[in-house]
Amino acid sequence: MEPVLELKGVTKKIRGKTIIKGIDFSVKKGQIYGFLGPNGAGKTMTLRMIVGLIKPTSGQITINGHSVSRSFVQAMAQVGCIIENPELYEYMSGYNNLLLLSRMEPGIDEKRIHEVVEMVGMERRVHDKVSTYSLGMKQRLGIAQALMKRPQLLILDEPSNGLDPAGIREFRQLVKSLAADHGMTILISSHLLSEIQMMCDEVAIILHGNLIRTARVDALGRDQKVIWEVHRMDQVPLVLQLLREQFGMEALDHGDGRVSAFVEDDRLTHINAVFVKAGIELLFVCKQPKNLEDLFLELTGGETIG
Amino acid sequence: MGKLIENEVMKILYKKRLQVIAAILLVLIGLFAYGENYTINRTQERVAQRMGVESAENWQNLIEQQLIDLERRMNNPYISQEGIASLQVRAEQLQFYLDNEVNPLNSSVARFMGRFMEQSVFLFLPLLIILLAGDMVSGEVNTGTIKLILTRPVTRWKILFSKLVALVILEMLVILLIALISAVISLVVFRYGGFGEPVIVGFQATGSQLDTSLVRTIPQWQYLMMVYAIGYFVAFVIGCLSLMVSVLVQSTSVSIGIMMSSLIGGSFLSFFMEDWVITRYLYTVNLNLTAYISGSFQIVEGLNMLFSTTVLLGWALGSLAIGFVVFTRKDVLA
Amino acid sequence: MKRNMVWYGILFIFFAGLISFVIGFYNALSIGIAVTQPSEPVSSAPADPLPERPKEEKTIPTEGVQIMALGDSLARGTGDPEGDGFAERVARGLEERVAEPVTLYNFAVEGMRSEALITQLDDEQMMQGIKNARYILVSIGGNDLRAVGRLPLVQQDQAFEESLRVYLVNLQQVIEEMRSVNEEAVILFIGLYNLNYSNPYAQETAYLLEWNYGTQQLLETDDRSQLIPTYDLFQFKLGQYLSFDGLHPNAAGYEAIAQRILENLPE
Repeated sequence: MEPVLELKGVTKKIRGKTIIKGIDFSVKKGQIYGFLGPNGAGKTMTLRMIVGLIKPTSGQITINGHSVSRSFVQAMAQVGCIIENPELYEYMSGYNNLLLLSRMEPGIDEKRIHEVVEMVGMERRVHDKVSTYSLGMKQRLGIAQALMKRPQLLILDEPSNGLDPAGIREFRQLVKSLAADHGMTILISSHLLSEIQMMCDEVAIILHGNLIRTARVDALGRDQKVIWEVHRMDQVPLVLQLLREQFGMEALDHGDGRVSAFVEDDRLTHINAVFVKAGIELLFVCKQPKNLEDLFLELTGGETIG
Repeated sequence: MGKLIENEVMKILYKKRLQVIAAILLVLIGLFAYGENYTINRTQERVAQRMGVESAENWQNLIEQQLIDLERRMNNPYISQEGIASLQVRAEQLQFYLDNEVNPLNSSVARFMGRFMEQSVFLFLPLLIILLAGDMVSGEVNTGTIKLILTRPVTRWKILFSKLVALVILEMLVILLIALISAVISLVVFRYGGFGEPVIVGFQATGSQLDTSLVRTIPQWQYLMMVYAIGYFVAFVIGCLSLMVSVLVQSTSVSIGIMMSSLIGGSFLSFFMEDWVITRYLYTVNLNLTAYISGSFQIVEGLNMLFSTTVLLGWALGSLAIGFVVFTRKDVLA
Repeated sequence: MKRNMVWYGILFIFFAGLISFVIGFYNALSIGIAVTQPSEPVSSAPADPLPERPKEEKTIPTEGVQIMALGDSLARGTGDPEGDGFAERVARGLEERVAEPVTLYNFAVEGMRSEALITQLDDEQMMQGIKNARYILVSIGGNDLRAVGRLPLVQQDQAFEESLRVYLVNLQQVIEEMRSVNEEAVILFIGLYNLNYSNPYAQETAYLLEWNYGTQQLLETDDRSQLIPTYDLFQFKLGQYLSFDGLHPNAAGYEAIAQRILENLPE
C-alpha cells in the first residue's frame, strides 16, 4: 500500500549549517504516527518542510504521491495542520477565521464549518473575537480549521500545549476516533513520550536532526527502568558484576547505594533471585516508568541530549 | 482568486485600519479647512485694503478693476505674445467669476479638495498608504498567521497577488475617503461647490522664464479628476514599495520605519543635494506630480511629468518583481 | 449575505473609481507631457486650447507722447480704488497740456525689488518701449528697504548698509541700461514717504532719509533724471493720503504725487 506521507533523505541547511540530516520515514494510511524528540531536535523544522513552509535543501517529501515541492497545491489539498501554536487572526471572530480559511480551499460550505465547530465544542464562543479566547480555545479552533477540509493527513505539532488535563483526554479521544472512524492518517509531534505512548501506533525518534529510530510504540514500552538499593555500599560492584556477567546488562551506579538498569518485566524475578542467592542485601527494588531522557540514553548509548 | 482578494480586503477591514485612516483624515482635513478659512479671511481683508476699499463685500468692483488693469496690460504693445496669452487666461477666469457671481476670494469645495490633494500627495498620502500596506505581509509573519495561509492549497504567488489587488482596492477607498471627507468638511465651511469654475493649467518654466504658451483653462471637476487620479497613482507606487519592504523584513515596525525614513530622508537628500543627478531617480522627489499640471514651478531642474511617472512606475514594478521573487522562495522560519 | 453586499459594494466603488482615475490620469499625463514638450501639437489635450486671440497687429506707436511706468505696486496703483495710480493720472494731466496724444505703458509689478527690475529690463520688447518713451516713471526701492525692517533689530544696521549698497548698484545699472537705448527721455524716480512720522528718532526714519538721499545723490550723475520727493508731501497728510492698508496711497495720495510729478515735468 502506498504510504500517505513519505520522506526520503530530507536535508535542510541554513547558512551553511546542516540542521536536518537526511530523514527518511513513511506513514501508512490510518496510522497515528508519533514524531518524538526533545525541544530543538528538528521536529518543527521537519513538519514545516512537510507542509511546504520551508523548502528542503535536498530530499523528497510526497503526500499521497504528490511531491510537496513540485505539486504543492495537490499535495496540500490533502493536508490539515497546526504548526506550533494555533495562530489565528486575533481581530476577527473564530467563525470569521474559519470562513476566511474555508475560502482558500475547495469544497467547504458553511454547513461543514458548523460541523467542525460542534466537533471541537466551540459553539458558544465561536462568534466572539479570538483575542478573548484562552489558549485552550484557540487550540480547539486550530483543530477545527485543520479538520475543516476533511484532510487525508492531519499534522499536529505539540497539540497538547495549552490544554488542561481534561482537554488533553478529550483531545486524545478525538484523535483516536478520527483515525478509527474516518480513516484519517495523523502525524503528531511531541517531546513527551507518555503522550506518544498513549496515542500513537508507531513512532519516529529524532535527535540533533538525525532520525535515530522508528519503531512500533508497544515495542518501546516493554523495557522499564528498575532501581535496586543495597544495604551495604561495598556490595555495589558485585551487583554491577552480576548484571553484566549473568544478564549482559550495563547498569548505572548512582553512587549512593543505588543501581539502575533497563529490564524487561519477565526477567526481573530471575534477577532478584540471583541477587538474593549471591548474598546481596537488598533494601528495596522499584520500577520507574521510562521517561524520554531514559529512552534517549538507552537509544544513544549514554550520549547526553543537548 | 476572487475569494482570496476578498479575504485580504476583509482582513484589513476587520483590522479597522480604514477607520483609523478616516479618523486621521477627519482631524487633519478639519484643521486644514480651519486654516484655509482663516487665511481666506485674512486675504480678503488684505486684498480689499490693497484695492483701496474698506471690505471685500464689493468684490465685483475689485474684479472689474483687475479686468481693466489686465485690459490695459494686454493693449501694451511692448508685451510679448506669450505674456498676453497668460493675461488673457487670467482675464477669462476673472470674467467667469463676474458672470457667475462667484466671489474668487471665497474658497469653494472644489478648490479646497484640489488644494488638499496637492498638499498631501508628496508626504501625507504616502504616509497613509504606508500605514495601510506596511504590515500586509510582515504583520502576518509577526502574528504567525502567515503559516495558516501558506499551508493552504494555494500557490504563494497567488497569495501575494491577492494581497496586491486588495491593496489596490483599498488605496482606491482611501483616495475616495479623502475626497469625501474633504468635500463634506469644506461644504460645511465654505458652502459653495464651484465644480464648474475654470482652473488655469499648463504653465511651464524654462530656465527662469515662465513660458505660458500652453496655458489654458479647464473646469474644476476635470482638474479634480486629474489631481485625484495622480493621487491614486502615487498611492499605487507607494503601496508596491511598502508591500515589497513588508515581504523583505520580519517585523511590522521595521517595515513601516524603513518606508517612512526613506520617504522623509529622500526628500531631505534632494533638498540638500539638488545638483546631484542621482537624486532625480529617488522616488520621493518625483511624487509631487500635481505640480506639473497645476503650473507651479519645478522643484528640481530637469524633472518633468513623463520622467517622474516613468521613474515612479519603475520603482513600483521593480519592487513588485523583488517582492514576488522573495515571497515565493523564502522559508517561513518564524 | 450582509458580508457579500459589503464586498460587492466595495468592488463597485473600486471599478467606478478606477475608470474615472484612468481617464483623469490620462488627461493629467497629456497636459503634463504637453507642457514639457511644447514643440509637439497638443491635439490629445482634453481641454480645448484657448481660442486664438484675434491678432490685431499691434503696431508699435511712434507718434505722440509715450510714458513708461516701471517698478513696484506704487507705479501699479495699488490702493487706488479707481486703479489708476499716479501713472494714469500723470498721463491724463499731460494730455491736457500737450497737443499730441499721450499713451501710458505700465510694466509695474506688485512687490518688485530693484534686482527684479534689472531682470525685467532684459526683455527686448520692453526695451523697445523704453526707447520710444519720452517720460519714464520709476517707483522702486520701497520693497528693498521694507525687507530690512522685517529683520531682528540687532541685524538691521548691517542689513541696511548692505541693502542700500546693492540697491544703489542696481539703480545705477537700471539707469545705464535705459540710457543705452534712450538718451533723451526724462526719468523720474518716486521718492519714499514715511509711514511713521510721529517718532522722528526712530531708526526707520533715519534709514528712509538716508535711502532717499542715496537715490538723489546717484541721480545727480544723470542730468535728465530726477527724484520726486514724497516725504514732505505725506508728512502732515498721512491720514488723508494713505489707503486702508496703511501702506499704499489712496486716490488722494496718488493725485498728490501725480500733481507733483506734473509740476516737475519739463515741457
